[in-house]
Amino acid sequence: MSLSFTEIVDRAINTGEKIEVKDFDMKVFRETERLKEKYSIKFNKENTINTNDDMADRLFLAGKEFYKKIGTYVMDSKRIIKFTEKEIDEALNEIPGIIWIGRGTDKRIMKHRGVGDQTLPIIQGGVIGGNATEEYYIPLYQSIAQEQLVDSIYFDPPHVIEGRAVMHGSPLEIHSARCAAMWAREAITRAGRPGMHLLGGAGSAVADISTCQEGIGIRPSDAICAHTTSELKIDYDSLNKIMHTLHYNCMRQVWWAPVIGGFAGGAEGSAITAVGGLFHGLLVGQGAKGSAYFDLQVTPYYKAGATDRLSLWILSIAGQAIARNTKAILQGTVTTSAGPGTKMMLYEIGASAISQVVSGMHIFGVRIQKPTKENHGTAMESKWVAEVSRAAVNINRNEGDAIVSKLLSNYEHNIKNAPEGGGFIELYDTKRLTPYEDYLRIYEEVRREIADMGLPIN
Amino acid sequence: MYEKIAEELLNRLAKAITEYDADSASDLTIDLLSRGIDPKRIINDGLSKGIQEVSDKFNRLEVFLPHMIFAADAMQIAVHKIIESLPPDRKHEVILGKVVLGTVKGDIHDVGKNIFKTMLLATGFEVYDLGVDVPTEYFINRAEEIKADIIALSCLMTTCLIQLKEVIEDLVRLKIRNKYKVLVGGGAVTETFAHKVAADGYSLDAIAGAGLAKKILGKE
Ligand code: B12
Repeated sequence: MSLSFTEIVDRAINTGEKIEVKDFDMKVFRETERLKEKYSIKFNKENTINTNDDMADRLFLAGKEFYKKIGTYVMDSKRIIKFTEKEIDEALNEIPGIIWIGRGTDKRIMKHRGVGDQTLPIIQGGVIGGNATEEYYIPLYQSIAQEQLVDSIYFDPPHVIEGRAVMHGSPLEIHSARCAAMWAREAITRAGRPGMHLLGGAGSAVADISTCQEGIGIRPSDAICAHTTSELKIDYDSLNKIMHTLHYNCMRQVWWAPVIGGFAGGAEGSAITAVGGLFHGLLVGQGAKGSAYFDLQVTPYYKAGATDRLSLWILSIAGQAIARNTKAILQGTVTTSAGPGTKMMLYEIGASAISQVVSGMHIFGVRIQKPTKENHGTAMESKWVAEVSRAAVNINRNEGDAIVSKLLSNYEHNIKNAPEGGGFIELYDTKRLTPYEDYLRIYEEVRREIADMGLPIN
Repeated sequence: MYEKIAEELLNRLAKAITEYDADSASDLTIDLLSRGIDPKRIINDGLSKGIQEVSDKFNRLEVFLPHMIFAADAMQIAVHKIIESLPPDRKHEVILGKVVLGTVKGDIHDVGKNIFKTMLLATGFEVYDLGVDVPTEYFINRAEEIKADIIALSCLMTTCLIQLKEVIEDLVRLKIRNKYKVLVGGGAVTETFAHKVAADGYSLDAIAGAGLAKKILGKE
């Protein structure tokens, strides 16, 4: 019999063991240290896309053992939600491996992808965390929706609404989130794709829940995000989002973000928590129900997007561990150090998309690690990530690794001093919704370069 | 001869910190105190030297946040030994000050806050960590209760920046603004914003932040 969400919430608020957060964090560290030895997990900086199947399978076992031992920590109640091996295996068996997102002719099938799978990945585009403003919201998102290779769109609300700074969890956040949902829908409708799947990341639970409304807001064929606090922690806010989506019957993106250098340690420990997060997503995030997809967001604590060797390796090996051993539908987030309008950002997007697509993942992105401007992103990045991803289904991991090495040699030395680039206003004609010449030229150059490196992009 | 032994013990003390060995650090500190070595020297040439080495390794990604915490814990235990040995009127020589620290209401990001905490501990502050999603009145009540010198606020979400203003505005309203220095930091905060809300200090990173904490208390 499947475990009910009510029972899981009861463990979270009532029956789970209580411990201090510091003790939980240290337990995460000790367990990852132990398991990386036990399962001989070893980062190899010359092999950023992992090609060792046996290690990917060992990593899967390590991640499973890790989660069984650790569970999910509930920050509000200080309790741990734990599961038995049987409960974990049952959830693994229940994953449907296929879901439908969006509606009408804009509906897309999102399937489990295996390693080296030729199935096209679903591209969830958007300007993630890029401070989109009220005035440019509709044109920015319309320009993304008109990119036909983008299957679905993520959006988050403006930080200023009607000239007032928005406060998390306040009525202004609800106002901003509801307006953003309406504008996103307007944008996709204007682009002629009204049924396109939307993913909302409003912030607090009350704001996300307020956006759920058939018609103008988040529909049951759309989704909202449910976050996981690194490492393997959750709060009532996120649990509230999950409970609401089950009742409203819309979808969820359950995401987690191993922080490299944090409580999971370095590359190996972070890879173990990356896989551990899947079990959290399956059970606490209710991912086995067929109404959710997962997103792995690798996050260096230091100044770097998730495009350095460590991050790419973690994304690729954790993706493969999950792809080879489950039917889960997993996205990876493309996070860059550089900003739009720079060659560096396009190289980074290339490296990240290739590493993930050949490893069995779908694509969520693009986001800049540290957005510094308003409207700090354009449709071009979503278009580019889609093009690279589609081409990458035709290469294997070894070929991918060779291309990624070349791309890395173009940007690796600049990660710490990455250019911030421009925003929508500087790079696009915001009325005609087309990129300016300079950006187009850079894009075409990088496109030629990546084709010369061996990616069959034409 | 005597100086040589002192030097060797101080080196061993630094090493104990780099090995996260709280017991040895504590024993060596007691030994050094019993030989009449100046507490400030024990801190500067022994404990701080060790923690600096760990922090350099952390910046080179050779060790990680848990190691920083282990090293800071070991250092704290040794510093307590020193404090215990001092007469009440000299204790302030060792403790630089008391800091109440937390991530503001609505915000659950804590990686940066935790790093800043270890840097404060390593510099010689006593830190009261209130965790994440901390309401305004918790900061203020705790600061009053422990007679803090500094209230340090971490914030990574633009939509939570208002909370920094709230804390400072409440301190003014309660007529206790002058009792505390308010330090702000974290990804969402900028120099301009810190200035706008009249914080006493802002820093882009944790190491400079700990230096700033020393400076605004005039302990440099
Ligand atoms: C990791 C991460 C998470 C993790 C947090 C894990 C954890 N335990 O902290 C998780 C997955 C939980 C998460 C959740 C969310 N996140 Co988040 N997250 C990040 C991310 C990628 C990294 C943050 C980080 O740890 N940086 C590394 C540390 C070391 O840097 P730092 O905190 O700035 O600290 C340094 C200095 O600032 C300084 N410092 C820190 N504090 C202080 C204090 C003082 C006094 C001083 C002097 C110095 C100082 O010391 C540190 C070392 O030098 C950032 C993006 C980014 N690159 O910053 C987004 C980011 C902060 N998150 C963001 C968002 C939107 C969210 C969510 C709302 C997403 C969602 N829709 O659910 C939720 C938030 C829920 C909530 N209520 O808070 C946005 C915020 C946008 C904004 N400006 O408002 C960001 C910027 C990403 C983005 N561009 O969208 N997130």
